Amino acid sequence: MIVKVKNDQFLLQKNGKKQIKKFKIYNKLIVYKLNKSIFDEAVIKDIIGFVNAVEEKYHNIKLPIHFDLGLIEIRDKLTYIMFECVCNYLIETCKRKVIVTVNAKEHINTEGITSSPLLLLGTNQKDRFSKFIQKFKKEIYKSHYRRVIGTEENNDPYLLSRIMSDIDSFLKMFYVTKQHRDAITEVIIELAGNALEHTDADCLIDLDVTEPYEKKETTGTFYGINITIINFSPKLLGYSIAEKIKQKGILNDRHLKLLDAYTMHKENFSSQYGEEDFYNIASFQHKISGRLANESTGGTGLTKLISRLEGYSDAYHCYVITGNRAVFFVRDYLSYNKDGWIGFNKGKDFLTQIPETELLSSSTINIPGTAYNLNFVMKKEE
Amino acid sequence: MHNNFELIFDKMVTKLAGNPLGKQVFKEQLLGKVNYENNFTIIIPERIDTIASSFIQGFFEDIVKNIGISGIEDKVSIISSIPDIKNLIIRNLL
Repeated sequence: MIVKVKNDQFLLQKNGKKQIKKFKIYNKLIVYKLNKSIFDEAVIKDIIGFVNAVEEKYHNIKLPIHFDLGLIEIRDKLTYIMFECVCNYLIETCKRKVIVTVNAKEHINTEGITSSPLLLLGTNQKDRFSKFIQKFKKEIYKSHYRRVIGTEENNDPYLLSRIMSDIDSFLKMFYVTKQHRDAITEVIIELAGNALEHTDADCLIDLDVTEPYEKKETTGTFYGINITIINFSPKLLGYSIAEKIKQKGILNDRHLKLLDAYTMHKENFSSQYGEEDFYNIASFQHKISGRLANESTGGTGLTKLISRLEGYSDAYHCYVITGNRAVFFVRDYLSYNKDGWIGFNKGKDFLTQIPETELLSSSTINIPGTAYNLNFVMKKEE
Repeated sequence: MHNNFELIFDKMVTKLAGNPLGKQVFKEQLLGKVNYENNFTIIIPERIDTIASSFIQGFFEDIVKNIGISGIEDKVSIISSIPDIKNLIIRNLL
C-alpha cells in the first residue's frame, strides 16, 4: 500500500496565494502559462500561489491544471523536485489532474529531469496519474534513484542500513569509484537519518548520475552526481539545537560553549545574519547534537562529508534551505579548526566570529522543513 | 561478564547506519555484559563492509562515557573485514 506523503501540504501553506481575477480556462483546463525561460525558486513560489488560488476558487470543481512551461532552463535539481512535490500534492491530496508540457534545456546539474515522473504528465498514458504517484515515491530506473522514506517504515531498525545498500548498488552500475560511492551514500544516509530522527516527517531522496559530458576548457570526461533530500516538517534545521540549549542542565561542555557563542553572535545579529542562521550553522558543528540526552558522541560531521565530496569534484553547487533561509556549502569555509568547530568563515572560528554573510541568504521559497541541493561534477577516471 | 562480543545483525544487512540502530545494538548485546575494567573484543560479521559514522556514534556512546576515547584505543579490539576499522571508529568519535 502506498501512503500519502506526510506534511506535503505545509509547502503550499507557507508560500502564499496569488490574487487572480480571471483564470485562463481552455478546453476545460485551467492554464498556468510560464512566460519566462528561467525556471527557478521564484517560479515555484508563483506556481504555489497559483495552485492555492485554484484550490480556493475551484475547490469542488476538479478541473485539471495545465502547466505550460515551454522551453526552460532549470536552475537546479531542487527546483524541479519541488515542482514534482506540488504536482504530487495536486494529484494525490487534492485529487486534481495535472498536465505538464515542458522542454528543458540539458544541463549537467539538471539532467535528472529526463527521468522525472513529471514527464508522464505530458503523455496520454491511461494510468499516468497513478504511475506518477508511484514513481514519485519509489523508482530505481536507469540513472535515477528515488525513494520517499515514510515515517511508518521507521519501525525497521535496519531501514537506513538497507537503503544505504540500495544506493551503493545503484551507484555501482555507473563509473563512480568506491571512494566516491562511500562518501555519497554516507552523506545521503546521514541527512535522511537526521530528518527521520529529528522531525517525525517523511524524507524524499532523489539521486541521479548523468551521462558523461565533455568540457570546452578542460580535457577529460565529466559526470554529474545530483542529490536532493527533502523533508516537510514544522521543525526547521536548527530547531532541535535551539530547544536543547534552553535546557542548561543537560548541556555538556561543548554545548555550553555553543551557548557562549550564541551570546557573542547575538550581538552581531543583523538583517543578513540572524538567530535562525546561528542555529542552522550550529547544527553542522562537530559533536553538537539536537538529541536531548547529554551525549559525548553525536553530531555526524556532515560538513566533513560534504567537504570531502566537494574535494573530489571539479565543480559543485551545494546548499540547504530551511524556512526562508539558505546556507551555502563552499569548500574553503568547511574546514574544522583544531577544536572541531567550523566557522563558515575565513578564520575557521565559530565561537567568536560570525559566518561570512555571502554563505547565507534569504530564500524566495519558504521550505517548511529542510531541503538539500547537492550537485557535484566529477571527472571520470579512466 | 564477557570479553568477546560477536555482534549479531539481520542476515541480509551488509552496511550499518543510524545512531538509533547503534544504540539499540549496544543495549541488546553489550549493556550490562561488558566489564570496562578489562580489555574486550568486538567482532563484526565479515559481510558488513561499511559502517556509517552515525552507527559508530550511537554504538560507542556508552563506551566513550565509561572509558573515553583513549580507553577504546587501549582496551578495545575490533575484528572486522573493513580495513583499518579501529582508526575509522576513533576518527568518527573524536
